[in-house]
Amino acid sequence: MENIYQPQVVKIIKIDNLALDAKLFRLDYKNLKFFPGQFVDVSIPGFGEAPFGLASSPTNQKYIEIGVRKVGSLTTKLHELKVGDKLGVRGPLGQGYWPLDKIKKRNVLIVAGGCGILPCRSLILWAQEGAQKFKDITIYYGARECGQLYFEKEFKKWQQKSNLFVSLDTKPTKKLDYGYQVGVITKLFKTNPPLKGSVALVIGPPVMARFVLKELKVLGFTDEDIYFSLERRMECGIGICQHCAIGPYYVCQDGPVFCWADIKNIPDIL
Amino acid sequence: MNYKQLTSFFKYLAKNNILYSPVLEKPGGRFLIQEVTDISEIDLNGRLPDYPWREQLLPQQEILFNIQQNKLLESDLNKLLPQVLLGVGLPDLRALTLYDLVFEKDKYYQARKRKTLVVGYINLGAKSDYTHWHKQYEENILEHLKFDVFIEIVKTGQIKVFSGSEKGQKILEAAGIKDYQHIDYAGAVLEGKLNQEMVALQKAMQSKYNKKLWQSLGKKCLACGKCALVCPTCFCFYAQDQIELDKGQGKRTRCWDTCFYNNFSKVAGGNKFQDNNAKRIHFWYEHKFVRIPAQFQISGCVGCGRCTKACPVSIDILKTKKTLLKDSRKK
Repeated sequence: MENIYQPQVVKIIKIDNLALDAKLFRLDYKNLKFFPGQFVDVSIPGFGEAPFGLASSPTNQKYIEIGVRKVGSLTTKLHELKVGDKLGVRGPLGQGYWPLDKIKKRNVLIVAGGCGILPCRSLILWAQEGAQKFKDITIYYGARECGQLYFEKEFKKWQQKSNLFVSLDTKPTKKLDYGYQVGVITKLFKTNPPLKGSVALVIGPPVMARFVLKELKVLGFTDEDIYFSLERRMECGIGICQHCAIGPYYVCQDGPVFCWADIKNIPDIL
Repeated sequence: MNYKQLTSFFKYLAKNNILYSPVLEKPGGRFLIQEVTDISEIDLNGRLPDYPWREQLLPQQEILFNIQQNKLLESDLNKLLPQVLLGVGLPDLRALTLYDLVFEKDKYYQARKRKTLVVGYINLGAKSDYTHWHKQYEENILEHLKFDVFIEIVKTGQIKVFSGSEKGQKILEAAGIKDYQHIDYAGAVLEGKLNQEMVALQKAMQSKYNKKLWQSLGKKCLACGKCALVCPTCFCFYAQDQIELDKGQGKRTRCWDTCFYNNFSKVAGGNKFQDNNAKRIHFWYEHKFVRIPAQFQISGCVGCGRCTKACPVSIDILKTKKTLLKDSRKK
């Protein structure tokens, strides 16, 4: 019998700094079949295990990438690792992500706050490859300050196939070579309103998600056209341990992406 | 079968296995599941033990992997010893039936279960803790419970024996018992017959949040976790790594957890999704009345009544059920 808790041991082949407290790890994991938005459980023996969204394109079968912000003991240890070091990977976990059938041939609005951009990058890269027939992709990307923006170097590339709008909570301390606004992310709904008939994919801290939901409802988005990627504590990743449970669902198994229509009646969901 | 034959069957089981059974600690003391060597200690008086049959299949701390030179090595499951769970009452059999579903793909549980013989029983001549199950018993509930051997003590003291698996049949034959009836397991759910009370509770919890109910329970609840400790369908866990850094040696274990504890829902960065007792107790009930029914079409409450007995502030699951059932009838 297969041991579902046994991680695969993989080598780190590249590490990039994403920000002062965040790194992008490229892992030597070939032929992993996944959809954007799925995640893997990453572990280091002795330091535990935690879920991380896959940040590379699903068509890239040579390696996978995950972004790690330093917030706890496991992520601190991850930040100490070097190219050539090994770590454990379990996955892909969760449901094949974004509701592909629903977003094909539709305009897509991605609203990402902070670390939320990491799994979105998988979709952004995928869309850029042109294999998926999305219509226009609009990205609202919010961060606390310019030093916290990930993938800055890729912005130009992203903008070839999508409309990127950056929002910073505080004034940048350096000159930026792309457009941005200062203030809360929801201001972008006024200054750069989403295209008609869009499907919204929202991922970020709960407080952001709540305000974004309000804006989307004002603009007339139906519950069926709004998707949230949820963050919860996970211990098993396969719907047993109960930590990530929401209403009748498990975020690890049935999510992490949920249609708002399916979860809106769950108390305190956002 | 008579008592003498039953006793020799128990002796046979004790010979080759670790035998767990309900035992009265001392007169007026606790009624516990304990390892038994003297079979006269086995107590089949119809009462449910104070704690459920969990430790034997899902140990409080279980090593998933040993860590050696910073590598994970699967703990040796071949070393598990054969065990018999003797005297499992109907509500607890229901819980074990549920475990088989929940832990279907869990190698550790499955390894333990393979080494386990489950002997259920009902004592129709004794005053039981779960008389509401007795009526179901008459309606062939045994087909929907998982066990290897089942013992029915009839009012007159006569004993009927059933097998519920191939393993059960083999052991009965090996013990020289020929006079038994085989019952084929027909799945946990009664064919095309969902429990209506379960459906109503699920509906009540999912369609409307009864703020008054949960806030008043939240005010009472101490979040001590006792109900989770005694509930046979509470099986949540957390995983933990321990390591001696200089040696690179340690272990990855999973340990019992409860959704009442402070950090149960805490994520990186410190955000907690259940940050007060009203949310925590609602979450606990959701597991019983929403999630288990949604996943397996059976109720997550087996009706053992342990949580009500254990609660230091007298939160009564039957009262909560009553309110929820009332809610389900509204609109």
